[in-house]
Amino acid sequence: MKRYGMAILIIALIATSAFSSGQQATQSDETGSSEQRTLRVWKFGGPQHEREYMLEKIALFEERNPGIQIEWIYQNYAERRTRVITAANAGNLPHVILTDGQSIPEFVQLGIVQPYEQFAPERVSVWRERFVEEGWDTGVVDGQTYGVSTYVDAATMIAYNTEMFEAAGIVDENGIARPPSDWAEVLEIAREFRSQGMAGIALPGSNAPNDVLTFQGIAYRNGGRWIENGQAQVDGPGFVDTLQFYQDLTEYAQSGYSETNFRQAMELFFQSQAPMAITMSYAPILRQSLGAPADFPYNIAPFPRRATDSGNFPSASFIMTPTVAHLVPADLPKEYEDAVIRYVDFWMTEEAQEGWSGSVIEGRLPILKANLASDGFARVYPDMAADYERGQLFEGALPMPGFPGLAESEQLLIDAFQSVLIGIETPDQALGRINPQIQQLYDAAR
Amino acid sequence: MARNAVSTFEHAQRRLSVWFVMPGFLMIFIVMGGVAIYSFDLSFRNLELLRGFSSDYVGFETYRTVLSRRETIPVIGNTLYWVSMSTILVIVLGISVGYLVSDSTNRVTRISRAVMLVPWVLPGVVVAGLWKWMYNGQNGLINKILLDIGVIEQGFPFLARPETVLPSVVLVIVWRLFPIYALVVASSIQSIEISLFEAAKMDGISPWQEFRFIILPSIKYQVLTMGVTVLIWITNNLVLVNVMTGGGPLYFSKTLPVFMYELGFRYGKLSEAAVVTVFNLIILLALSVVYLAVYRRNQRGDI
Repeated sequence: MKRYGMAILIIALIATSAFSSGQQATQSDETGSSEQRTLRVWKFGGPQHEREYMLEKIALFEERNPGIQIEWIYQNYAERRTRVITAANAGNLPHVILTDGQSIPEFVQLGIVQPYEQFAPERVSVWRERFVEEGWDTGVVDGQTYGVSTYVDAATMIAYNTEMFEAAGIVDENGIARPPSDWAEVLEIAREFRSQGMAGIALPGSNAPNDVLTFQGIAYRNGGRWIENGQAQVDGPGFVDTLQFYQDLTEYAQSGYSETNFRQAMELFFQSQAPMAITMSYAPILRQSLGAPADFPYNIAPFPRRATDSGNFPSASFIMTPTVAHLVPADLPKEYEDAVIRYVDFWMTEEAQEGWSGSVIEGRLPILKANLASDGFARVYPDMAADYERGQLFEGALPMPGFPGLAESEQLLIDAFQSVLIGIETPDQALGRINPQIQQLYDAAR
Repeated sequence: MARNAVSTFEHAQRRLSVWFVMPGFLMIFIVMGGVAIYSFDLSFRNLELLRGFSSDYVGFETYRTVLSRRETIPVIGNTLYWVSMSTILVIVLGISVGYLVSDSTNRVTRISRAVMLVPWVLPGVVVAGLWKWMYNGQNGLINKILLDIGVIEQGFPFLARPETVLPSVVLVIVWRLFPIYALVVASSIQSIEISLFEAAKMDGISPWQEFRFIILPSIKYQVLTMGVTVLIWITNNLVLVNVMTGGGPLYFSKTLPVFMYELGFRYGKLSEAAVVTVFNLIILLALSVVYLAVYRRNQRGDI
């Protein structure tokens, strides 16, 4: 009997505590935005010092918004798409996702993210005013804003060692090192340096996605496109000639170019083992993280074009993508909307973004007008700052290609890219082989 | 009557022993059998993370898709090369070096045995990173040495050339595994009755005859068991190849585990990854069957 009494007592206690905690939860849900909110934020990729900068700013945000706490979770950049899609399928997405712009169309297609126009329409117009249009558009799909960012990474750039160039007489009329004027000159300079026993150019040719991205930047500059009017175009002259150019460069590039990724290529460059390197706008970030001296004699410029563009489409001055685009899941609970808007609103200010002007983080191309006009930007990218002042910086710039099925299409391109670089196929054969496969993937994804 | 009683008792004991074995069996079945069954089931579906969590049974369609991939046949070829070359080299080197360091009275061999543990105790990722740098065509240590002694005139990119990439990675796994194999061989040799060697000496046999007729038969069980274990380790190894080459250039160093990882975790094609898992499982099962056969023959004294 005693045992029964004890059992009833325990059940009663459990029931009471469950009921009371349930009541608390209900009360908490009903109180809305005035309650304490913990926002889960996933950040994909980025160097250490950039992450530290962002955490400092988050501390400032939390100080000003005592009702909101940020649970910041760093994630592997390479797994961004599968991680987000898996979490969406499992109903386990965070409240804010910080990822790249190229993934946005796929997430939109799968109904994972929602446009800001839907839940923060009045803020969108305010934010948009502060940004350059081309930069803002990197987060726009079908006229709706899904991602808002603090900067973009732009492809493709050439980094050149100003001391070596000046010593070799590759200078402008003022005797200052200048970038090569076209592909033929890039080859000529690479050949010249190679004959002196060093790598003529640091060429990233590994199977890392970033390496094929730098290749795409040059192909877009040459009038190439992935997809146009629903048709795969990688077998067109824009891509084919660019791949042929890469193959020609391999003769003068560093030994082992097909195992050298974008980071290792810049390491060679910053060790003065190559006079120039194919890179992206993030080269200064690599200088910082590789520990090269701050006064390393180099400059970065948009990668030279072919003497005459051979692609079927207009040349893109560069292609760009945000890598900290703030995305909001489609299933964001109503009670978190206010906190999310306040959080994103904070990041859309000059105060939060100041570090990307070059004052803290070198090597990101800011898209906030205030940052583009800053001294920091002029110091890191003197040529680009001058272009911005003239209103020409973003002329002809395009968002990096993003479409459903991109991840797998990119793998096909990597396959073709490496196949050509190691001499298994010609550019025509390799790109002709993958073009129908890309078309199939694109059609299936839509 | 007495015989019946004994028989009933034995019967009861057998039944009881089944219950004692059951927890272990269930655990193995759930942990390993369950995963294997799930992988088989998945391989007949069309599950892709990028398309959601739902899937349909599609028969052998996913098998056809995997087999129609350009890299599948080369990957199977790479795996066979990787497994066979690595295992043979580990066993040959392991037995040879194990024999050389089996004399525990010699101080040099004692020190050598301690040093031999280094490749084994280092984490796999560290080993892979270290060798990747050593092989580097531009700044690698191996190229530096070859350049310094005048063997080559410019750096050779071992991991960037289709013809050298897989042999280069094979050498690394051999470097990592043969010492542990050699240590097992050395310990086994030490456990052989000393009187056998003394008798052999009195008969005036040569060192080769000593090895062939005394040492090898005495350590065959350890050599075989360790050999099959090494073979399974090599077949399943993902870290070395993935970190050193990522399967490249192109697919010239891609093995089944790397292919499986790529399909499943990079592209979310879980069913295709499951098909590759099945291929790998078949290889491992075949190896296990060989192992069991060898073990049984060994127990019977046939070898």
